[in-house]
Amino acid sequence: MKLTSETKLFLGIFAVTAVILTIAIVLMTKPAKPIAKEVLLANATHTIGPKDAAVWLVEFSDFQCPACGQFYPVVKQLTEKYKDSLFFAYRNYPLPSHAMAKPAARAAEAANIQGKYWEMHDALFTKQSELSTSFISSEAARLGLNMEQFTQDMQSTTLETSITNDIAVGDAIGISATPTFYLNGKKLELQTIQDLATAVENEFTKIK
Amino acid sequence: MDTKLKSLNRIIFVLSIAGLLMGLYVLQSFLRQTGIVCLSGGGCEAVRKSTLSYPFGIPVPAVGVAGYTFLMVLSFLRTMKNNKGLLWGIFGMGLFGICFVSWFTYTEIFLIKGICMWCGISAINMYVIFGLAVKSLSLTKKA
Repeated sequence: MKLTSETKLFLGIFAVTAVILTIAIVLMTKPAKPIAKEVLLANATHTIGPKDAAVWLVEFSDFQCPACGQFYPVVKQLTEKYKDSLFFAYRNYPLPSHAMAKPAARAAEAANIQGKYWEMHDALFTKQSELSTSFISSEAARLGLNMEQFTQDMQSTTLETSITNDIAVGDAIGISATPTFYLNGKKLELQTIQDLATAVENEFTKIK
Repeated sequence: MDTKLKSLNRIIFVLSIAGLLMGLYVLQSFLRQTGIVCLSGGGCEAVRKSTLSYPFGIPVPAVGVAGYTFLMVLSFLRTMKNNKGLLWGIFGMGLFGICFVSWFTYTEIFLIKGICMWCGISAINMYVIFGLAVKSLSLTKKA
């Protein structure tokens, strides 16, 4: 069959596209290099466990994101089970589409000033479906926080710095969804919630 | 095929390839459940995670990939055979394409409440292809 010059041109365009596509696939499927601990934990304020632990997990999360809420019990379970050997850092990455995500992050930061960060963090996730301004106030009262100070701290601009720092780190490493987990610097591609526990347990087996 | 028709067919071919590449990128993200690079905030993620993006269990970008592949093949075949049926095929696919992207854009804005940049670009792309198919048909009729 004799090919016309037009057919040849189209085949040429197709071949060039196929080459570009192949290069893109190779680059995209290449396992990403682990991110350094100093980068992932830059200015990280909310951590659990020994800082020098061989296994460290960083979560970029949003208090209003349903998937983050689903992962919460697994994270809690892991931090309790490996409390002496797992270092966990929670980083705020409130998505603009979630109206209550930032106020919730601010509430946790305000609770942190009174030494109740994790208590507020746990309350926000366990009762995520009830998240609202009044819920935040009632939880703060339930936790025995000084309400006058809490309300004042919630308005404080210094609280914003901690959240903005977390977002800046997330943006710098290309976070596009929540929750995003990094285990020993490697981004986890999780298909199911239980995959997180499996990944952490495998990491412990690896270092034994 | 006259020069004008040839040029229009070339543009349809290139736009189909562009649409196919976008579709493949978004489809791999749907299948691997990984993040999508998006300039419209968290819109792409909201769309990817919505059940509305899987009509009859089929990920929306898979429909795009199939449609653009079909358009690409038809415009390629037109370089070998000046068959009016092929042009009608492009028109038909383009018509289905604009109906589909219009429905999905409506779904994104009013039901999912999130806009995926790639879907938006693909919608415009499909409208342009359909416009070019209409123009080609009118030129063929005149000739």
